[in-house]
Formats: sequence, C-alpha cells, structure tokens
Amino acid sequence: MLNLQESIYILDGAMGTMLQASGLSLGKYPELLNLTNPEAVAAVYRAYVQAGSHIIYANTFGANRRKLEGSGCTPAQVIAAAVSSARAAAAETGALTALSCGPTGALLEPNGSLTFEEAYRIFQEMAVAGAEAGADLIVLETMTDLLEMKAALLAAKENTSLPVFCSMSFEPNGRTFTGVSIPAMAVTLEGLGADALGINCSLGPAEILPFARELCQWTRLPVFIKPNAGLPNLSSNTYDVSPEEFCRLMGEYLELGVSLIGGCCGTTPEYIRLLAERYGGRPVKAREIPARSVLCSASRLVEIDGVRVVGERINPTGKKLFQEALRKKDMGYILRQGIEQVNAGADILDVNVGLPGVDEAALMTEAVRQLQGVVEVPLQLDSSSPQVLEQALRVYNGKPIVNSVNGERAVLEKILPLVKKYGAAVVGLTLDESGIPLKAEERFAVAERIVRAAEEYGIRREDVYIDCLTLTASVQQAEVRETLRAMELVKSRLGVKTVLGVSNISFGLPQRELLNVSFLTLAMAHGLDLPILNPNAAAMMNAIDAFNVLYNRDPGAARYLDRHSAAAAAPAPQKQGGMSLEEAVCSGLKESAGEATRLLLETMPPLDIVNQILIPALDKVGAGFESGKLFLPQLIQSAAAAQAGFEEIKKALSRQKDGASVSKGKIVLATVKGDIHDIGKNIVKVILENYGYDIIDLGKDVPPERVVEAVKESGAPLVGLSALMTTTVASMAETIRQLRAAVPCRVMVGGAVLTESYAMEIGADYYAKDAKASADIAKALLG
Amino acid sequence: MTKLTQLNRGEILRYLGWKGSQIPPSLEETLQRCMQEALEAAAPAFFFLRSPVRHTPQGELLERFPLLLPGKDIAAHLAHSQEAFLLCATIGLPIERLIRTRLLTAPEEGVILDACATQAIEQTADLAESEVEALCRAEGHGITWRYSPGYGDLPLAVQGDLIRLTDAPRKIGLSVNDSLLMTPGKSVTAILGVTPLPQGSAQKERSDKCSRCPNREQCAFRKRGTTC
Repeated sequence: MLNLQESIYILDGAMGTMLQASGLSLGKYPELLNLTNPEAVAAVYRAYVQAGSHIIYANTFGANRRKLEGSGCTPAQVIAAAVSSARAAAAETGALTALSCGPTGALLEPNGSLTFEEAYRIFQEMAVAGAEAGADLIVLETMTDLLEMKAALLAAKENTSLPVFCSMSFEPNGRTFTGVSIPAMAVTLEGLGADALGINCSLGPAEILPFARELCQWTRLPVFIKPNAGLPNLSSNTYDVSPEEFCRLMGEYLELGVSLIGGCCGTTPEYIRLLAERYGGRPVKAREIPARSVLCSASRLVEIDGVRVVGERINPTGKKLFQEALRKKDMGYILRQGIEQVNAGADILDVNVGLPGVDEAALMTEAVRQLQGVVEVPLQLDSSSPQVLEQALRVYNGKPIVNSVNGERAVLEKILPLVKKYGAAVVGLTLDESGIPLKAEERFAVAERIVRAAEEYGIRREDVYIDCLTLTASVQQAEVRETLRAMELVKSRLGVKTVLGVSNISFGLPQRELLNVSFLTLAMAHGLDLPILNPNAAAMMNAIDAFNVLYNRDPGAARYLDRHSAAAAAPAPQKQGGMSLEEAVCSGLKESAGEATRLLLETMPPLDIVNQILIPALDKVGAGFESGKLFLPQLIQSAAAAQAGFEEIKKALSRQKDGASVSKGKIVLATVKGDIHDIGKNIVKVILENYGYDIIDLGKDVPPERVVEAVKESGAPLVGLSALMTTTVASMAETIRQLRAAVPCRVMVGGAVLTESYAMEIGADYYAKDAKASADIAKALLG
Repeated sequence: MTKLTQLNRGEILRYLGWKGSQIPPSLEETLQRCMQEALEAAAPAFFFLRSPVRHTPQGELLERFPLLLPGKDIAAHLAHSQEAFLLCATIGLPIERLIRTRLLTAPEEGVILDACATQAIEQTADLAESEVEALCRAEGHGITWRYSPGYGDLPLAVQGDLIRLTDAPRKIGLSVNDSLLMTPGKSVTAILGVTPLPQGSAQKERSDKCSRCPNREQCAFRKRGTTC
C-alpha cells in the first residue's frame, strides 16, 4: 500500500470530461457506459495510468441503487465491470484502483427526506460490490452533507476492510451546500476512522487553496486535493485554467503538507502528466497539529479553550411537563427547550430523554435528529445505556460528547469502544463500584484510571472531560472543597478538561441561586471548563461573563461590554399591565396574555377561564380572520398569546389534585407520505392546541401505517391530514383507505390543492379550507 | 455570488393572504425584520443550459441532454422554438433551517419568513430569466415564459431527470427526493423556449398561463383573484 505520510502520490483527472470529449453522451446513466461501451471507459483509465496516476478512480461515482433505478442494471453489475476494467488498466504500472462513491442524489433528513439508514444501505451495497470486484480502496467524494458522508464511511468501514478516503466539495464561502465547515468535516471524519481527507470539485486550484490550508491545520490524516480545472461556468460547462497553470498552482499545495493531488471536472491526462512529472514522489511536508479539545455539529465547531456552557434543560428529571411531553412524543417541546437555551447562550446542549416506560433509544435518536435540524451547537448525549448511546452516536452529525463513563471497569469496557468507534468525546465521572470517594486524591485516582482506560482504547486525552462531582452543601458541607481540590488536581496533573453539574450544590438551602453562582465562580477559578447549568438563569451566565473579564479571558472586556452596557443603560421595560385576557389574545400579545391569566387564576377556576374567556377570544379572532379584517400572521399571533394563557392554566391544573384536564380531546395530525411541506400542518397544530386539543403530531412524510398505528394507540377520534401537492393527494387517499379499514375515526383534510369536492372524492369526512376551519370541525366533533 | 437587495413587501403580503386590512405597527415591524432576515439567509444560485429542440411524436426532445418532454402543452409552449433553455434556481438550505426553527419559537414569524423565502426564490428565478432573455435579445430572439414540470400535462416525473441531467445537485446543491419534491424546497426549475420574436410574446403568454395550469380549479391565488 502507499505510504501517504512519506511521498507525494498522483491521483487521476476527470472521467466525465474525457468521455464527453470522445463524443459520448453521458445521458441519465453515465455509469452504464461500463457495460455498453467498456472500451471507451478503459481508454480513459489507460490514459491516466500512462500519464502517471498512482491511483485511478473506477467509473462508479453514481453507481448506486437510487441513481441506477430504471436503468435495468444493479450497482453490483456496474461496479464489477468498472472496477475490473480499471484494475486491468492499472496493472500496467502497478497503480491502485479506487471505488468512487458520489452522493446518493437525495438529501438526508432534516434537509431532505432520505433517512440515515437508507443512505447507509445504498453505500453498503456499493462498498461490498467494490470490495468483491477487487478495488484497493474506497473514495467517498464530492459529498456536501456530513451525515451522508458519515453513513457512507460507516458502511464502507463496517462492511469491508479497505482504506476509505473522504472528500467533500466546498463553495466559495468555505462551506458545503448544506453548511458543513472544514474543521467540522476534519474533526468528525478523522474521529470516525477515515484514512485520508480531501477536497474536490466545485472550484479551481486557486480557490480551494485556503480551504486546503485550513483542512491541513485540522487533521493529522493525509490530505488529498482534486480541484476542477478552474472556476466552472455553470451555464456553459467550461473551465478556464490551463494544464500548465493548474500544475503551477498545485505546487502550492505541497507546501501545506498535502499527500495526494489530482484533478476533478475539466482536467485531462495532460494535467495529470504535468503533476506526475513535476511532483510525483516528492517528500510530503510534515505538519504540526496541536492537540485541541473540540466538539462540533456539521456547521459549528466549539473549542473548549475557556469556559463553555452545557445547557442542562433537556432532561426530564423532576420536570412534570417535560415528562408529559416525552410520553406524548411531543418533539416540539424538546426542540423549543433546545432553541431557548441556545438563544440564552448555551454552547453545547445535554440531551437526556430517559424516563421509565418510554422507548429511550427511539426517543433519543429522534431528539438528536430533530435537534440538529434547528440548533447548530454540538450535543452531549446523556444516557447510561450503551444501546441508547450507540444509536444516538450513529445518527449524530458531527463530534458529540458522551455523558458518561465512570471508574467502573464494566462501564468503561462497554462505553469507551463506542466513544472510539464514533469519534466522540467522553465525560468521566470520578466514582466507581464503591461510590463517590470523599477525598480529592481518591477522586483524582479514579480520574486517572478513566484517562488511562480511554487512552488504551485510542481515545486522546484531550477528548476526556472529567467530572469531579458536586456534592450538596446542606448534606456534605466538608466535601464541597474536595470537589474543587480534585478538579485542580485533575487539571494540573492529567491535563484534561473538566465538567461539572453546578446546581446540585444548593439542594435543601434557601436562595439557591446565591450558592449556585458562588460555587460556579469558585469552580471556574479551580479550573472548570464545562459547567452544566440552566443558561436561562441570567445570574449564572453573568457570573461567567464576569469571570472571563477577571481572569483576562475576555480581551478588553469586549464581550462583557457588548452584553452588559446595554443592560445598564436601558430603562426597565414598561409593563403592559392592566390588559384583559381577551384584549391580549385579540392583539396577539403573549406576555400580557400570560400575565392576565395568572391574575384571573386568583379569582376564577381554570376551566372557566378557558371556556368563558380564552375560547371566545379565539373565536372572535377567527371571525376577524374569516372576514379579512385579520390575516394569517395575526391569527397565529393570537393563537400564541392564547397558548401563553393555556400554559398558565396547565400549570394551575397540574397543581390541583383532582386531575382535572384542560384537554378537550385528542387529534392526530400528519403531513402525508411523500410530502415534506409541513408548514400548513404546523399552523393547524398551533391553532388546535390553543383551542385546548391534545395534538399528536406525526410530522411530515408520514406513511399511512404510522397514522393508523397512532390513531389506534391514542384512540383519537379525529385525524387531520395535510398534502400540498397533487402528487401526494394519492397518498392522502391511501391513508384514509387504511384508516377506514382499521379504526373508527373521522378524517379532516386540507392543503393547497384540495377542494371540498376533491376531499369528499378521496373519502375524507371534512374539508378544512384553513386553520380556522379545522378548529371549527374539531369543535363540532369534540366540543 | 448573487445577492438579492430587496424583497417585495406587496408580494409577501399577498402570499400571506392579506386583504387590505390595517397592519398594526408591531406586526409591520416584525414583517420588516423578517424580510431582512430572509434576505440575509437566502443564498440565491442559478444556472441555465441551452439545447436544440426536436419536435418528435413522443414529445419535445432537448437533444443536448437528451431530455424528452412529453405532452401537448409543452409542445404548444415550444411550438415556435428551435432551441430551449433549462433553468434551475434555488435560495439554498440555510433559510429552511431559519424557517423551521422560527416556526417552533415564534410561529407567526416562521410563516412570514416562509412567505419572504417564496418571494426570494421568485426574484431569483426572475433574475435568471432576465439573463436568458438578455442573451436571446442580443441575438435578435425572444423567450417564452417559464414552464415548469407539473404544469399542464407535462408530468412532474420529468423533474428527476431534469435535475440529474443538468447536474444541478453538484452545481447549485439542488436535488429531488423520491416523491419528486425539490430540496431545498424554495427552488425553481423551468423550460424556456427561444422564440423568433425579440419581444412581446413572453408577457402576453404569461398572463394566460392559468388557462393551462392543472391546478387552476383549486388554486388559492385564483380564489383570491390573483395569480401566482
């Protein structure tokens, strides 16, 4: 095999460009040429081998199940032909043959509708076929979605023993189309076990150079670069850099420490010949990569080079509403908790959805998937179950942190291999079989054991975060300082980062925030990097801002000034007091509605407020909407204001012992299979929720079977289905058909292309022309 | 990279179903803020490819790709064209994340942002079209209006082939899922015929496009007396 750290190797140039130049039309299935015109493809392979390529890519870029659909050929057939032909050509010089895998052609969730598992199966089929055909390595290239790349890399690694090279395409802003940054790519894929990282396509050698520099600074792996022959003219499909110019520009890459070079679209054997003549076999320049503690999502990298806040709110422990949301699989609730914490300044979000009686693995995976669609911060996957962790680690897009392991051998042996395999970081709790040691030195000893075990599994020290465990001051007052001392020892002697849940300190004592803030400040002074706390608590966040000024970590107090000078100058916000609940709802004022409800609750039974004020106010707004006096944003604003009122009422009811419920009945909502437009359904959801119905929201692209299952499970008497496109009304009809066959329930339908008569034709009971109409239907049916 | 400078407030209000009622100042402020956010999040990108057209019994054949467009409506659309352009435009994924996030925390803003994004992709497609038009005008030709897969009897199924054959996923990050929906959602593909006349036809035919639209009976815009 090649020694990529030693000597410069030459890759090949474009395949499509060459085939087109020979007068062939690539058409819908360029890879079919492997079977229909193998000689033309072989001629290209030979040309690159003769030009000096050490590795040639087989013509398999789009030979996946999805792209070959309708061609009459399977990926295995196409790949076998392509790889064997490439190997024959490569044999001439002893060059290697790579199986090339491009994107599936569909975007993964949450951007598109392809699932991670489907993407995995598509790449698995390709990788297995490539290995069987005798490919020497696998190149995953031109990827723009890090999660799709991850699916492909795992599929290749788990099903073959071939080296896997990973290359992505970046736009002029330094991001891929899906927003992946270069450091995030480097950190994630190196962690997942890629053998080399690269950049190809999209831009020319001049434009890619700064991106390659960044990549070289973020990975220890060999780097490979295949630019286009200049900037493409998208409309004429031409490129503007000559072979000589290309070759000159590629010389600069060697200075960065790149190991392999070649060309992408627009390059020909002439380009490759010059590269091989000038650079082939030259020594690879060594790179110094500093050890860094980093976590990332696909688009945001967080370096732990100071205090970073881990938001603790996504956790059901002791939270009644959160537990209820988990039982109802109300993802919206969890997502809002996430967004709120990020807006309040969280750098990382802890995600814990463990609760007796729920399917923790399914909920965790779903929470991770959906959170990544709405927040950019990295996640801390918090569970004690290795199964739950593994499932979440698979679908996580980036480098997460696992919470947690401890000094118990059994725990370390189960969880550390997962941390290593999926390239995560890990929290190590300083406790073991015999509990939490009291003395700092004893906790340090556990920490040392954890760090050593991690390193045995190949996990770098900078990816271990030690939690010296906060004890409660009201119970173990003497041990509070031991936590701080242990942290200091861990930090100075092991050189690892530290993490600590802060607010346990104050259990059982009054004015908890006072103790929490003081302890947080002390902990930071003793070396705490990752406080786990509620970022909505302003005093805690302020303490961090102050600490960063006092410890000279906020140069010129810039961040402090930015966040706090406005607060000092601004007058106290004027209260919009005295507004009635009805007024607040009609004008769509959330805060006022909440406040008015709180006042009313002092004198009025909760359900009376709902029936005598909230619902009539919403009706009034609805009438205004119907007559055109109000339009959609106002209808929604009023609904949101009513929601603030409902929240207060729910809180009041949950304090009552008789179990009275605000719910007026259950309704299942779904955007039907094939349809990913769910904005209409979401509007309906907001409105119905605020009329007091319990909504089971199945999301978008929902198969008929899942709707049936949800109705059976919940016993909901009403189902609302949404479809935006003419093409997906068919799956709406199918969903109704399956519902009719399985459960007694009424069905209302809505969506841009539907009409009353069309709705009746496909078997619906009701047609809801807008969100207001859906509320009228629900009222007529459920009261 | 293309950047849009301003969104059309009137159009956005039209998408939101506004019927001329008074807009409270706080809502106007929200609207303005959303327009600004949408402008910042939109990443407009487009390209167009030119191809000879052959009128065959099976449909209009764009020979360069080759892409066959079946149906009598596209045949009528391209009746006077020896050449046509395929146009692909999108405003990218980041704005979708913005809308998705905002729908959760402030649904009314999410809905407004969605309408802003619709306006932004319309503008982007208009911009692309005007480039095609300028190119043709310089040659003494005109263009037809933008005809998209799914219009009239041109099957939506054409979408998948159109996107793949133009290499749109690699060029502008535009792809299509198994249900033939485009991702990013705010994207446009269209077929424009090159016509012998330098001007005139495009405008007239555009006003007539509803008569050929398969959705004309159900169209929410037509119900309100406007067009899309």
